Amino acid sequence: MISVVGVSKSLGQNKILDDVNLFAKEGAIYGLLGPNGAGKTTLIKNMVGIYTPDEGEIFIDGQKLIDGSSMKEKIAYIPDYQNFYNQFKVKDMVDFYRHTYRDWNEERYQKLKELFSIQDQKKIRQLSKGMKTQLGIHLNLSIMPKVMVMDEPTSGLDPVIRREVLNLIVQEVSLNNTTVLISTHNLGELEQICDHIGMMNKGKVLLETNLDDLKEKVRKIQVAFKGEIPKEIKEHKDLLKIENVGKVYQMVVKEGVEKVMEEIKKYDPILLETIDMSLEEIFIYKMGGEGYEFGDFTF
Amino acid sequence: MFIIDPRSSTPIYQQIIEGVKENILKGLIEPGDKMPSVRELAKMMTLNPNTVAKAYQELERQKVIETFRGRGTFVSMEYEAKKDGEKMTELKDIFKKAIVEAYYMGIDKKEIMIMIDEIIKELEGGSK
Repeated sequence: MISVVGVSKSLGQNKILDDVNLFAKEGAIYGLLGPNGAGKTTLIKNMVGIYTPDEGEIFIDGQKLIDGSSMKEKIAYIPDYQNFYNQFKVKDMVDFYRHTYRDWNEERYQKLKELFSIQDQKKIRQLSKGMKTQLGIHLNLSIMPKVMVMDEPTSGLDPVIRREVLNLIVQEVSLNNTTVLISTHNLGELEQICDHIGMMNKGKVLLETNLDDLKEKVRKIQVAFKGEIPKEIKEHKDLLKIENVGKVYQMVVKEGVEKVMEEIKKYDPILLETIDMSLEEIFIYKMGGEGYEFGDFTF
Repeated sequence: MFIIDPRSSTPIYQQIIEGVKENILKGLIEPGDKMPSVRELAKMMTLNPNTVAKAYQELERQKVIETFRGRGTFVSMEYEAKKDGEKMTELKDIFKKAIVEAYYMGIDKKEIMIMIDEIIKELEGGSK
């Protein structure tokens, strides 16, 4: 379980996190998304104890995260850039983990070796980004974590390993009820394995929800009328966006699709249906509603 | 077993429910057959175990599958076909599209009816 309560954090003059609240329950796979610069990485660094919040508190499995807390041993952290000691050999790095984490599981480490084929004798600085990420995931799965926090874990991984990594996460959750938080821009991946998502923008969590609910609630309405579209519909307060090709209007509604549909029915539309939206579309519209949007840019 | 499209707006648990039902209808899995456990299916298809568990709960509620403690999950022996409202609308939509197409090809109502009769005969003939 990860619980972030009212966390704010400034780096230099900039307020990166502004009263952030987030909750990932035990055994959940939580997807954290947001545009570049939203504060995702800063939030993650607060969660794993690299930064200390200026205000607010963070709880891991009900325990407050403080410096020197033994809870830190149960947190697996995969950063966006793995900072292992460059001059170490892979086997030295493994030893480092082996001696640092008390719940190190040798059996698991050896078993995972079949999957990740990184040579022990190689120096860390000889490894590519993807190889370092693989090593990071390998080591962090061997410490028997209660919580896994992953910042862009699959960037730099080839498709085969990426699939394996997602599979490992899924298995880890079903075997040990581990809580996983993943930040990524690969929304397809999130849709596949996450059950909860949080959307961040400008240092705040805008929305936190169950993914199934979100998909059922947010839909596009496609509508056409014989004559002009009624003003009441065109300027409806719940519309996020409205576009038209000829007579056919497509609109994205903030919430309450059914309610808006009922209102439209009063005006006798000749066409009225709902269209599915992918998480990517939902994300773009939500961010658009928050003023994060690019117009139709054409060269 | 079946294909899950994570990008679809149909929630994944719903897709699992539909997939399992479809496989039963097609006879790929039969009443009394053992189903993979939540953990196995999650691993097999790289899906969130919580989502798979949610689908299984719903399938159990609808009496499509049954779980016996210590033995696992099985396809229920006593599943009865039910007409479900949402599915009916979906089906109607499919017919509608075909009828519109037929209309533009100059096929009249009588010919459509004959065609449907033929298709049903063909399907029944095939299964017997």
